[in-house]
Amino acid sequence: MIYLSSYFRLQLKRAAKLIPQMLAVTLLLAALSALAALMLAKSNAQEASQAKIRIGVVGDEGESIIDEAIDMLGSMDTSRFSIGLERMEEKEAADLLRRGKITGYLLVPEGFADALWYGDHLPITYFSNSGGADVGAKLTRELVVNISGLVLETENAVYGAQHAVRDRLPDVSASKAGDNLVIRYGTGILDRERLYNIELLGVADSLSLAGYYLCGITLLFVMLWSISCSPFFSRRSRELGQILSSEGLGAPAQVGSEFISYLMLLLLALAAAGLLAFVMLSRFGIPIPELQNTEKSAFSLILRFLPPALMLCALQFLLYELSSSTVSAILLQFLNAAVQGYLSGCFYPSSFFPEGLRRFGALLPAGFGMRYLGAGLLSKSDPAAAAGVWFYLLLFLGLSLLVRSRRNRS
Amino acid sequence: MELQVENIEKRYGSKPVLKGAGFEAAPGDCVGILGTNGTGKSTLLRIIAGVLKANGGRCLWRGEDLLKNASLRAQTVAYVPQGTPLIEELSALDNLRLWYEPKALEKSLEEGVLRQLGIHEFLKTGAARLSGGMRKRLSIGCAIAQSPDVLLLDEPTAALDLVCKERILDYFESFRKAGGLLVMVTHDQWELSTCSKLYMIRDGRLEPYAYGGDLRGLIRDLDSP
Repeated sequence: MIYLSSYFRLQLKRAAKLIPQMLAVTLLLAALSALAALMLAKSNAQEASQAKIRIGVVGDEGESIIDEAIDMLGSMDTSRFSIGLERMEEKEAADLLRRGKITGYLLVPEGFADALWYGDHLPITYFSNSGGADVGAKLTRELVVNISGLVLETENAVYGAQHAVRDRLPDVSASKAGDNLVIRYGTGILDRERLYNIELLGVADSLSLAGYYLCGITLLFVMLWSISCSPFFSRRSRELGQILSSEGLGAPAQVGSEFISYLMLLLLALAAAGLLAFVMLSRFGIPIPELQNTEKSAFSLILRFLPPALMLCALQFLLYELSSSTVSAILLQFLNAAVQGYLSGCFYPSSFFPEGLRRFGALLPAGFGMRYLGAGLLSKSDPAAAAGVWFYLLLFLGLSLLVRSRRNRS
Repeated sequence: MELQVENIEKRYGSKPVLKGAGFEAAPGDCVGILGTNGTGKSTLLRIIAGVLKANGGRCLWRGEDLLKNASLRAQTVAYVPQGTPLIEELSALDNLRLWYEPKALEKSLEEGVLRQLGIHEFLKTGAARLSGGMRKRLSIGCAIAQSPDVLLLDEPTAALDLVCKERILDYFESFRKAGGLLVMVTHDQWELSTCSKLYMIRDGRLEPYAYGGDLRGLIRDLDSP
């Protein structure tokens, strides 16, 4: 009579013997993952700074108002984060536009400031090379027309008011009143943040890019980590499984004992990798917005990671059951990590993919895992993602059971 | 006869391998099953051991069908396959622990069958590091944990050195003397000489065979349709 407890204890012992080797691979993988996260964060920061729209401003060099306006917009206005205005010669601006180095340039006509002073408006011309065919160019043209009209009409109102003050309130300094009006007008225009709210849409239901990559890298780590456990599976004796089965310790007991032992290894690996990643990320200062200012404990986070990790663990178990040799098992695990990781958006946010591919990727186990982890980071519940994760977990375990039963009887 | 194997049938897909194979044996017998590769020798052994399901037939032990009574089969029959039914990463002792109660294991190692097989000499060694002979002895040691009445062996001494072979065959001899029944698939001359009954598989059926020590004659017989 074979006792399940003996078999389980020996499977745990097998798993324990693998710990040094597994931990070495885990720490290496975790270090690589943290390094990848670091590089991603840095490249995103760089891209964000490079993503600023460069617009040239061409005008008479004697027009100091242009420089003042550029300084004012560059230091005070919220547009400074997205638009960079640069003073340049027309020839240089045209050349840069042709080479795609700037998005466009504004040509401020000669005598613009003087005309403004006298209540006239000389139109500023905006040059771009998009030919007006795209939405951006049409919007820009619309904006230029609107802002020109706004500036012209407001300036007329300011100077009209100045004349009215001069005529009717001789005691009040007209120029001072005019200056006040201009300042208030300018403040009103520049203080646009109070007119609307800015809502930044994240990559997946408002998950920040750093949070998204945390989910992606975690799943990728779990998928690749399984390769370190190949000796646990490849050294299994087929004959032993068959004899155990004939002695009454069937496929459910065998699969259950081995899966739980494998899971123990994974938990140990997650704890070690989590610790290392935490140390590295804090050392290099990569903030994950979803983890800041919250009361999420490390324990609750690991609990959140557990169901998707369990599901991927079950998939790896199934792939090892299906493989006939160590080499094919490792190849299968690697392919699984690469294909699922790519399609489910562990490498790039899935929103970069075409709609069809994105939908397909979301239906894969890693796709559900991403959704589940993302919802966890945002402290939201996603019943569909949870259902997908548990469905896949049960499916993979069921299939593993089926494969083992067939193998024991073949 | 206490063991009666009757009309065993087995098909792999649509291909019949065993077409009513059967034999009889009593305690103390050593039954040898001969046949060329792919004739169904190992399949027959695995069916009796309960590893494979037969498509038909019975295997009676003292009148009880072992194919239908798994607990009786587990108590009565032990099976040593051609491969290694061991947990490679663990020591010989750990492998034995899977099959033995702690007290029974201790006793057997001190003065019982496990000592006779010489397993106490490499208890702490990992199964993966054992020689072929040690692995075979350990596999037998694991199989006989329940003191079975019938021991099924698939080419038990194939590719082993002479000393190791003799040690294993000595154990088989003492197993038979103690009233055990051996059924082995074999091609080995030395093993053949220890068998009290021989059967040859031909076209999915077992035929009694008399081996007089003429190897060339045996080869001819195996080769003839």
